[in-house]
Amino acid sequence: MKNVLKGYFDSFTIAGFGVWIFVVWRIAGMPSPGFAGRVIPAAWILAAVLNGKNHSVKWFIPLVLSFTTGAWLWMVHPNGWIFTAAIPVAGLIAWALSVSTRGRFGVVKAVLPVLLLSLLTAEINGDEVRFAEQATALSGIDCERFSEVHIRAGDLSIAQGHHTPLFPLLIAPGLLAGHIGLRIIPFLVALTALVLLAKLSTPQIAVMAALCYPGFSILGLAMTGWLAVALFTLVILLPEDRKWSAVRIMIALILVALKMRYAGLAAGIIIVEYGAIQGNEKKKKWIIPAVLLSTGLLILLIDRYFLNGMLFWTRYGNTGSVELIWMNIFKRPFYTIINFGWSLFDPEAGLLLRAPWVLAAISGLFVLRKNNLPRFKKLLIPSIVYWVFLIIWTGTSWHGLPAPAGRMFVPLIPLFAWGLAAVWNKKETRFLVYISLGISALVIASPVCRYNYADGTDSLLAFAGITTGFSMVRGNPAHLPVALLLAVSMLIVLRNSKKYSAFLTVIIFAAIFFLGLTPGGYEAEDMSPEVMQGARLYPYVSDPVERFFWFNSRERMVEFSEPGQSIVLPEVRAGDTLSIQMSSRGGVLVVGTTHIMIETPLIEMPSAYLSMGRTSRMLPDLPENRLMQYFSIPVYEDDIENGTVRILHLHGFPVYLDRIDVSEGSIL
Amino acid sequence: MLTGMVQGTSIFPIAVLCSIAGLVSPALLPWIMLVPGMLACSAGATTRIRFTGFAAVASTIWFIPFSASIPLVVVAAMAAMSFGRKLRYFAIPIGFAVSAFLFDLPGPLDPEPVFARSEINCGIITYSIPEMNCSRREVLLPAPYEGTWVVWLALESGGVRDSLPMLAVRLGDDMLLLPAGRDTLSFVMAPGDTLAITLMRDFRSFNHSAIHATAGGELL
Repeated sequence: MKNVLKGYFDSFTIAGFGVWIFVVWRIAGMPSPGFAGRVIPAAWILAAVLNGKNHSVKWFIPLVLSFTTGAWLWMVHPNGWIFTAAIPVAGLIAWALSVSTRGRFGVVKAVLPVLLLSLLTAEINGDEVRFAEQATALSGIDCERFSEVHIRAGDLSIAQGHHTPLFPLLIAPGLLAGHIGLRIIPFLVALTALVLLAKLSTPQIAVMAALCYPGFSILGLAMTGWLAVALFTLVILLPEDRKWSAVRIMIALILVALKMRYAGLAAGIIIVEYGAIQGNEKKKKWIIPAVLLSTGLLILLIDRYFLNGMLFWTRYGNTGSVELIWMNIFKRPFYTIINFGWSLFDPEAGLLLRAPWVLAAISGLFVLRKNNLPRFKKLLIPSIVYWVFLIIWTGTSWHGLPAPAGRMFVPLIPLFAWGLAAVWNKKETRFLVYISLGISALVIASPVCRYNYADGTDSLLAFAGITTGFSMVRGNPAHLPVALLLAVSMLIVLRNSKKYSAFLTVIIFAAIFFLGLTPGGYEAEDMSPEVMQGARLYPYVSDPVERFFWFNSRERMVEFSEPGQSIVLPEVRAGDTLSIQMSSRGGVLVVGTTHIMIETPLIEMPSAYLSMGRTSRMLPDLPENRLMQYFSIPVYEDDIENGTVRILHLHGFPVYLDRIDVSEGSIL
Repeated sequence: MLTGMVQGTSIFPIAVLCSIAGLVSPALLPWIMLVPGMLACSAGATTRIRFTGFAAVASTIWFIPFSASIPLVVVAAMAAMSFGRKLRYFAIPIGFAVSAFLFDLPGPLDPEPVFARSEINCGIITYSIPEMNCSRREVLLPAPYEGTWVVWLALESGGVRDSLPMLAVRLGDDMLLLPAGRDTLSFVMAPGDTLAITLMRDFRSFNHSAIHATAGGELL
């Protein structure tokens, strides 16, 4: 008995902590005792069972103490209990890292508690629902919840979604277990990818890459990202031998069939394969491209004439699709470059804010480039081509919101995981990794933070009460060079903090700059309920897909159209001037006691878009197509009631308002 | 804390992160300073780190009501002093238990009521009311500025172990006290009226007082 207790001491300690979380949650009276207060302790009990005889509780005391203190203080802030709940979740991730190296399937064992916790807290939504509906329709497996197929933006028809049928067919067997079985196959795929990643880097890094953004965003969800990771990693791990070339090319084709977005990744794999041919084999240099081209053409012909264009033609084989690429490169190059910048730095969907560990991984790639150039090329070229193709092809919708933020970067994980291995033991790397792990823990504790709506407000920052004026929808692109400077300086310091310590000053100044970038005035999407009373946001749903194809600003607007809707501006004094940005077909607003008629013209379609099969510059008369204009309204004593100025709709057409700025004392 | 930063102790990264978080989100500052502060008091390997932690706790403590802050200060001070390591580790759990059962847990720093978001569509108003618990105790539903409205309010409250009044619903001079359970009420609201829902229970261990409410109405 004594030996058993001694051997399994850590497991008993972990189980004890599970019980402690359960008890403390109840003593402290924290919210959600029925769900979060049970599943988090249960995950710890599962960890205890999986732990075996491993010694994994080195960091245990700080964890127990910080959770207990968090519970002690949970009422201090409305979200205090969620921050407290995130502490044991972060501890589970730390446990996962420490046991990942133990045993043959250490990585699988390590991620299970966090993965299950993540799956329990992530609702089935977005593309998952569409995949499930397609899977039900294609396989004929009767799954009540998804038996009715709905049409969505981008779908060709109710019967044919914009996704290829490969992934739905793959996940269909899981539906035999009912709708909860939707994630069975993706769950297994994620675990397989993890085992492969562990072979590419190390078990610890594989676990870290899985449980941090961007990989964590869709880990185990019914989305294609982790299957792409598995396939890409497999390509890297296959023997260098030329006889495996056909397998690698086959995998590249599977990637395209899986999702057209992975065409860039596939192209990169083929480029690397082609580049690996020795210089003295000139004939093969011609034969291989010819074979590849013929195979591609053959597949396209089979698709066109035998499969009714199901794979490619009906989705992307139209001239508009090709024209979009042309336009993004040649007609809107500035916007395309900006999109590259936002894809790295945007707070809502950019890679680096939710995944700062990537910076350390990039610094590690410089090291590995010297040590293993062939593998460096095999990982870097497909990843870069994927990123470039993603931005050029999808343009302003590169982020794929509102599905989990960061999912577009999942195929880049093998590259970053490999890079991280070179710098894993550095203190700076660990620091960035801890921040990344904390972000994942917070997302599990507060599942709404998994999603963003491309409206300028990052859910994670908003949750912590932070507002920022740096965003792809409303920010100034001129801020991007500062973000780039910050990232490059951090990279330089990460490479050798002693040698380049002077760059710390740049980091501090750039960070202060970003902290100072708060949105001034009142933005439509960010108005508090105290300010915006009764008025609605247009479009009426937050899904950014509704705003993807707006030519004007892509921000949501406040709609004034009927009695009772109002905006109440606090702390406005007589002598101030209100500057209101709004549009309308002809509506009258009352600001305090002042009546204003708003009639703004329709915008003209930018000439670049005329090439997209459009023959007219006239846009339909929709609110988003009206020009937003600034109206300056001075505030007088009569306009103020109880220290506030009220804005109401009087009559006429609806008025749409984007933002309000208050200038102090400008008319006195 | 400053000493810790200057000396480059292991608390430096925590201190920097906490300071940044406090700068960008002042409401979160006390929580985010107190948790690592208490941790440093109790688990700090050296006296310097423990006293740095104590300084962090002491510098934040005046944000919290006096009665609730006593146990925190006592525990931080005791842990910072050089008792045995194991004793220090037990200081926080014991302090938490004593505080929860004998005193009180620190309440919300900003006890101001919050407003419910409202939307009017074709003469129908809908309110989105955040969950109320011990950290958010009161929500206000202002009437629209124009017209007279009939408003219904559906309440679901619980997490307590008795049938004493749990919440108050107030409109003008009228107030209704309700025990835990489900209730649906209706009111006539004119411009200037504000309906207030208030959680009346203070913290008690093993109680998870919470109110979920939905509300809507029509223009008369």
